[in-house]
Amino acid sequence: MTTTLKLVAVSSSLLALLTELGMPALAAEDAWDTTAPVIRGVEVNGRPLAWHSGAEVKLATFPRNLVFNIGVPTNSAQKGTRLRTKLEGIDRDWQEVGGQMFVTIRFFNKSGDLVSQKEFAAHGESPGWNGNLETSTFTHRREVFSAPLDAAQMWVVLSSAGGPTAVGIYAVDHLMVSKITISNGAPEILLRSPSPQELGTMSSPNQAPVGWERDGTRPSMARILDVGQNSSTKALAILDDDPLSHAEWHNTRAIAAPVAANENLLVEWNEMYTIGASMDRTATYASLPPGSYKFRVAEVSVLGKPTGVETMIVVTVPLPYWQTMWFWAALAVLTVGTSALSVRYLAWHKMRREVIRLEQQRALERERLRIAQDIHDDLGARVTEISLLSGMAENNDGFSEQARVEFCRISMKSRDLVAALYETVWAVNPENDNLEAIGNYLRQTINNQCTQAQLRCRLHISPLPRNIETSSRIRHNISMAAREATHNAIKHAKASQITVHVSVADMLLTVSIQDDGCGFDFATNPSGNGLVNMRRRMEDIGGNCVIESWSGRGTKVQFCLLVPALIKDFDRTESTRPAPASNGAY
Amino acid sequence: MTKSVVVVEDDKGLREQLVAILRSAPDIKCVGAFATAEEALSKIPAQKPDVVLMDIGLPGMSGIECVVQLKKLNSPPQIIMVTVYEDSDRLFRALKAGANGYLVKSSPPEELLDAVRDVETGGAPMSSHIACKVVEHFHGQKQDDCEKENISQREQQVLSLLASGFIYKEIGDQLGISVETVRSHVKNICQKMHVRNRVEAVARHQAKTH
Repeated sequence: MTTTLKLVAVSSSLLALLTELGMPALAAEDAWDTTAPVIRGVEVNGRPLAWHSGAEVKLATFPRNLVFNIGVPTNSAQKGTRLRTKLEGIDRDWQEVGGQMFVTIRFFNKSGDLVSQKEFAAHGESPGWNGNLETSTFTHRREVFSAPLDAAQMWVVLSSAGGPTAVGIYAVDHLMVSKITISNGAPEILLRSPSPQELGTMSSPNQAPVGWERDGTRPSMARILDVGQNSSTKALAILDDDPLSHAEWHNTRAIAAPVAANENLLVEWNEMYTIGASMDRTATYASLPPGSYKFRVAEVSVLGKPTGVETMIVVTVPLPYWQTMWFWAALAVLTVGTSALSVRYLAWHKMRREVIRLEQQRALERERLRIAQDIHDDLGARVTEISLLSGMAENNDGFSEQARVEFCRISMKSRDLVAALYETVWAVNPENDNLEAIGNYLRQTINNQCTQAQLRCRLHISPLPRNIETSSRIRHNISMAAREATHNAIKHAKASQITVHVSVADMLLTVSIQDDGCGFDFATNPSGNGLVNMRRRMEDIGGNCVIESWSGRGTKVQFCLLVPALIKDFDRTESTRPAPASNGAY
Repeated sequence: MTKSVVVVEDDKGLREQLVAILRSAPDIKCVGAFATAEEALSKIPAQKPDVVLMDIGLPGMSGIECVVQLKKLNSPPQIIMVTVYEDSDRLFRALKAGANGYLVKSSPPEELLDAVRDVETGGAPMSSHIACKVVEHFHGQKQDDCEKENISQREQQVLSLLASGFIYKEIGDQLGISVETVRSHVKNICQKMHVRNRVEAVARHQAKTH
């Protein structure tokens, strides 16, 4: 009577399920509701994302604890739809989260009260599950356990009571509980499920074998089902399509097996199942690397068969900024830009310093020029006047011979003085701060010296570069040394010709002054004042002086100076004296 | 034949000395002495001296500019530049402007008087460093240029010998010509420099106005 009532209460979806299992449908007119599963929300690290259904989910980099809340539409919550999820790019297979059914051993005490139970869970699909009861095969399972202290009796229960959301099918065959004995004798069987033969005699799936009964919140879901190709082979099964209720098969109190405390027991059975979960639940991912993913939620039947109804969202996790091309491009641009700016700034700074330096230098040059001009205009004119006066007096017949000789000397001395003054004026004039000016000046001054002394003069002065700047100190020292050498040749050598060579080769400026006079012996004339002066002058500017003399065949004085030293000295604007580059050539 | 000479010199002491030296020579007559180029330019056209001793650095108009103006006269005087120092740049510019020779003021009186006497035939000797500048000046000459502007082969030889330190006599010996001929070559060179400079100035002026 009760079973009939219960049968009436079987939902339309169970009927559809029975149809699926190959059983005659009682109400075939009802069809699957095709409302798609719903993705209710996405959470990252406990915080829900603002996200519009159907839109792409754009996450921040390195999301933690990504949770998808999924569920069946509210209008079909009772239907018993199983949902599977798959995050393409991460999951290889469809994921079945939640939903368990059990083989349970329940222990009772002497008073018949439940004291404890031992549960053996089944979840997902059994290895032999093929999608239907006909072609699927059983898998053997055995578990060992011991009876609790106050146990007196035990039951075997087949149940879908684990979680209320569990849906699916759990078929069990050849279940047997036996006592493990220490002796080698055969195990003592305490309890066994009804044999397939016995179940084969059942004409209706709603009958119950002897010693077994249905139970649970919805006992009609505990059934006897055909398994395998042979339709006479039957097994006990829970066919649960209602996420909100459960069903059980268990033995009756009449065949409950007596157990003693701490008794070692073995339970073994064959099982085939496909168990999932319905209703709202979550799919959780601890982290997600950068990339694009599809999160799919598929609806499957209670027996795990895809219905083709599916919901999908696209989830993207961006590359962290340091892995993006834009970042590197921007970084490159920034680096290049920064260095370009720095270079420009440094160049500007350097240029500014250079401008200041040049301004100071120009101011110094102006001052030098002014002093030079003053000397030129005033002192030069006065000495010239003395020269002219003494020249006139020298020619004056009214003076004695003695006086005229003296006037002649004054005249000559003042001409020498004019020449010396000119040397100074020339040296300080910044217009002459170049190598070319040295060549021009040496040509002029040595030629004048020779002309006045009525000596043959041969000048071999190659064109000198104008772009090599030469400080006045260097020019002064070189010109004075050259004048000294010429003076020595005129005064002491009794020469008839002076030959001058000036050239620049490999940045080495060479000035040589050679006479064809008597020459001298270094032993007898070790340190003529002039020779010492010339050496000191060249030493002062980092050059050197080589004096060679051949008795009776003349003397050659040669000055050498490295041109870079000229530039260097110019940079220092005569503030310090360069260390003499003595190379032992003296 | 007595030569009439004008002195243009701003330094009073030097001017008086130069006048005194000129007056000491019987064949030379000093007809004027001026302190500025402006004064000289206003008086010289009327005085028509044979020779002008012209200081290079004058206040106001420079001696070089004064040479340019004097050389524009119908019968320009011979001009000898006088200078305290042998400043090659300024002397060279004076020669280009039309000066006939130059002299260092502190030269012995005899040299000064000889320069005045000989200015028409070549003036004071050109020294090595000036010759060097003249060589440079004519260095870039074009072959098709007018004969009047270009120096001849012989003049070139004279110039390069001068630049190498040879004196007139040595040049004459070297080239097998008389000193007088050397002097005449130098005089022609100076004239050609002047002509060339004038032609160039006209060209510059035309380029500017057209």
